[in-house]
Formats: sequence, C-alpha cells, structure tokens
Amino acid sequence: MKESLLNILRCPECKGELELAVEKKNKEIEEGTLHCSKCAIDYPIKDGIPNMITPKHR
Amino acid sequence: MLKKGQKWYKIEDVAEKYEDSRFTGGGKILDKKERETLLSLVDPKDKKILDIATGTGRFAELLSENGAEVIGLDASREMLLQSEIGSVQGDALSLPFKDESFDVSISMRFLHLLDPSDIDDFISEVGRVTKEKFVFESLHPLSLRMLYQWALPQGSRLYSNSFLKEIFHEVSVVKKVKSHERFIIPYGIYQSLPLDLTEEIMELDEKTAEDQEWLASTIYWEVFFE
Repeated sequence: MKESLLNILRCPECKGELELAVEKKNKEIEEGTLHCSKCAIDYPIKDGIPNMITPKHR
Repeated sequence: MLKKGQKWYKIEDVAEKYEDSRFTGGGKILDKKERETLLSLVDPKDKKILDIATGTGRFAELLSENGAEVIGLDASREMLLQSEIGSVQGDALSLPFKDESFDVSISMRFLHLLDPSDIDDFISEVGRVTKEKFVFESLHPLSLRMLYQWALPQGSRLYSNSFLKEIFHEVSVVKKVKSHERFIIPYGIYQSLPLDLTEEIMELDEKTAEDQEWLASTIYWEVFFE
C-alpha cells in the first residue's frame, strides 16, 4: 500500500486513526501493521494489502 | 456478511481463472457494454473513487485508466492479489475509511450477495465515506434471470425496484435516486453465446430494455448523497 493511504484509512470498528509500523518497504509498504489503540486491534499488512477486517470476522 | 459468496470467491483457483472463464466469447461483448454503461454513469476524471467488492479489479482499472484515483475494497484477499489497483481487504458493511474520503463509490455485481436486512446499513456506510454519489447494480427478479440463477455457484438474491427504492429513501443521507434498466437477457446466458450472435441479440436487447423496464434483468442505480 501507498503510505498516503494512511490519510484516509481508519479502524473499521471505531473509525479512529491508526498507527503504522513498517516492517518491509520498497516503493510502497509491503509488510507491516496498522494499530488501533482505542480498540486494541492490529490490522496486518501483507503483500502490500492491509487486512482491515476485524479479528472476529476474519 | 458475504456469507453465500465468500467461500466460493476465496478459492484460489476460482480467483485465478475468474477473468478467463467470464470474459470469453459472448462475455467479451457483454464486458464492453458493462464498461460503457459504467462510464456513462461515472465521469472518472480527477475523481477519488472507491470500488466496493472490486474483485480482480476489472472496473477499478477502467476508472483508473480514465483518470480516477481508485481504491479497490474486497473481502477476498485471493481476488485482490489479482488486481493491479491499490487494494484494501475489508468488510463492505464497516468500511475502514474516514468520512467523505471519496467523491464517488461504485459496486458492480455485489448487491445480490447482501442480506436484505443489511442493505440500509450498507447504503448508510457508503454514504458516510462518499461525497457525491454511489453507482451500483441490482438483479431484477421479474426477468429471465429467474430461469437460470439456480445454477450460480455463489448464489444470488434478487431485489425488486420498488423494494430497493423504499429502502434507499429511508436512509437519511440519501438525497435522490435514479434507476437505469438494462439487459433483458441475463449475463450468464450472454457469456455462453458465440461472439457474432451476441452482438445482434444485444442490440435488440438494449432497445427493448429501455421501453420494457419490467423485463430488464439488471438495474443500474445512482444514489446521490446529501
């Protein structure tokens, strides 16, 4: 995913902002985590695709 | 959500062969017509567009090629891996975006996979992230589609125009609704026809669908938001 996507990405539960932790980056972010501190949920980024489905629905 | 279709679309083999199986022979002309229809309803230039249930990104790519900045959302990671467009795996009923992130949202071949009780929440949620309008299609029950839909592996739900209009008008963010009737002959039948035959039948089909809306198998909707 492009880093600029973070401007519009929100936690699907509370619609709050997310904290990004990058593990692997080429031009775009390949691997990492988006964290919602309010809901205490981690949304993983894998192969450049953020998985924004809440754990209970995965 | 996506209970009926979810498993089927997640099979990797289905995702990889999806385009090939659907867009050969008569399916090619249908694909062209669908693209034309979408571009007649959405002016993509310089727009931020969300494609909900983007699948392998067929319509997302079309809009991107025509000047839009597109994000594709789908519940199936296997489908998204086939797409060339910026992708987000997510649930259509709780969109992971901030309010008014997009000018326009689209969703093709998706509404028939939703439960009737989820449609109002879905429209509200799309309205939350979308400034201008939502373009999508529904499959009409009083049509030839009824004759063959039992064969679809992913299952589908058919909603009448009046049923949907009633729901849309109850959603507070909806300002105006427009419907456009298309395709008397359902997609699946076109996909199995030889190429030359399809062109002739489709020409006849287009003329008739405009005059006889109750015969149309597919309805394209424009829902405008406050």
